[in-house]
Amino acid sequence: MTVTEKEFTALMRENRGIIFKVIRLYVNHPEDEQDLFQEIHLQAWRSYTRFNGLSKFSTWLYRVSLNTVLTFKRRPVLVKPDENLEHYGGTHDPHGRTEESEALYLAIRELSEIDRMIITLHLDGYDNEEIADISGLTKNNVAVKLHRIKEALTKKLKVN
Amino acid sequence: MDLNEAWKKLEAERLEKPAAWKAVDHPEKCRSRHPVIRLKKSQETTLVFSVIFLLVFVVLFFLFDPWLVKLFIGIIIGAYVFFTWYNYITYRNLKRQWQKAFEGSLKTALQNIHSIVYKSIRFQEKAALFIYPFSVAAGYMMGLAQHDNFESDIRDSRILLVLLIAAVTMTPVCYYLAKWMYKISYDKYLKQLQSLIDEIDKPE
Repeated sequence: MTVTEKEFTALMRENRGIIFKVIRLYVNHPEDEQDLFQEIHLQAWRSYTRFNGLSKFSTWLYRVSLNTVLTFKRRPVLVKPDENLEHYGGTHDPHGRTEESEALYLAIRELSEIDRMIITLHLDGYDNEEIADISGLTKNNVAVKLHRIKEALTKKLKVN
Repeated sequence: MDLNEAWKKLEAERLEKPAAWKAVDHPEKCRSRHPVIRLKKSQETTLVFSVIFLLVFVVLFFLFDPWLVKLFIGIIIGAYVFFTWYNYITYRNLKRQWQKAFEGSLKTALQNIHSIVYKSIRFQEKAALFIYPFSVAAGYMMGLAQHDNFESDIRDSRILLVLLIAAVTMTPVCYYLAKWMYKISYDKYLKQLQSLIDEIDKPE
C-alpha cells in the first residue's frame, strides 16, 4: 500500500459516517447501499489526487458523495411519497428510534433529491455559500429553497 | 419540533452504517456502474472502433490498385482520421469535466458533460451523412475491382445507376442505424443527466 493509499484509507475510515448518512438518505435497497458505498469510494479514490486541501476533507467527501449519489443509477424508490407520513402513528419503534427522528427521516425522504441535498448540508452546519458552491445554485436560490424546505418540513412534522 | 434537535437524533438513530455494508479495501479494483462513467466507457468504445476502422481502411488502401478505389478509400480514411480526433477530444473533455464535478459545482459539471456528449453525437450524426455515400461508393468500387474488367465496368451506365441507387438507399439506412446505435449507447444516460439538471434548474 502506498503512502497516498494509506492516507486515503485513513481519511475515508475517519469520515465514512458522511457516506453512510448520504446513502441512508438517498437509497432504499440493500444492494444499492453497497453498490453506492463502493461507487463513492471509487470516485473519491479517483479524484483524491486532485483534492487540493483548500476545503476540509469532510466537505470534499460530502461533495463527492452527493454528486455520486445524485448521478448514480438507482432502483426506483419503493416507498411512495406521503404514504409513510400519513400512516405514521408514533408507535413504539423496535429499533429504539424516537418519533422525532423517524418523522424527520420520512419527511426528508419525501423531498426532491436536490432539496434533500440542500437540507442535509444545512442541518450538517454548512452555510448557504458552501451549499451554493457544492450544488451549483446561486446563494439566493439556496436561501429561498431552504426557507421553503424548512417550512414544508415543519408543516409535515406538525401534522404528525 | 426543533429541526436541528430532530436532526441530531436522526443522525444518531437512523443515519448509521447500512446493514449490508462491507468495507472497501481496494477501491482501485472496483467496477463502476455510474452513468457518467458509462458515458465515458461508451466514448472509449467509440474511440477504439474509430481507430480499428481507420486501420482497416489503411490496409484496404494498399490492397487495391485502381486509382478510383484508392480515391474513395482515401476520402474514408480522411473522414476516420477526423472522427477519431474528434472522438478523442470529446473523450478528453468528458474526462476533464467529470474530474471537475468533484471540485466545482455539480450543476455546471453535469450541464457540461451533457452538452459535450450531446453535441458530439449530433455533430457526428450529421457529418457522417456526407461520408455514407462515399463509403457506399468505396465498397461498391472494391467489389468491382475484384473483377478484371474494372475499367470498362465503371464506364457502364447501368453499373453507375446501381451505384447511385445504392448510395441513395444506403445513406438513410446508415444514418438511422447510427442513430439507433447512439441511442443504445448514450441516450439512457443522457436522459438521466438531463432530468437531474432540470430538477436543479426548476424555478421557484
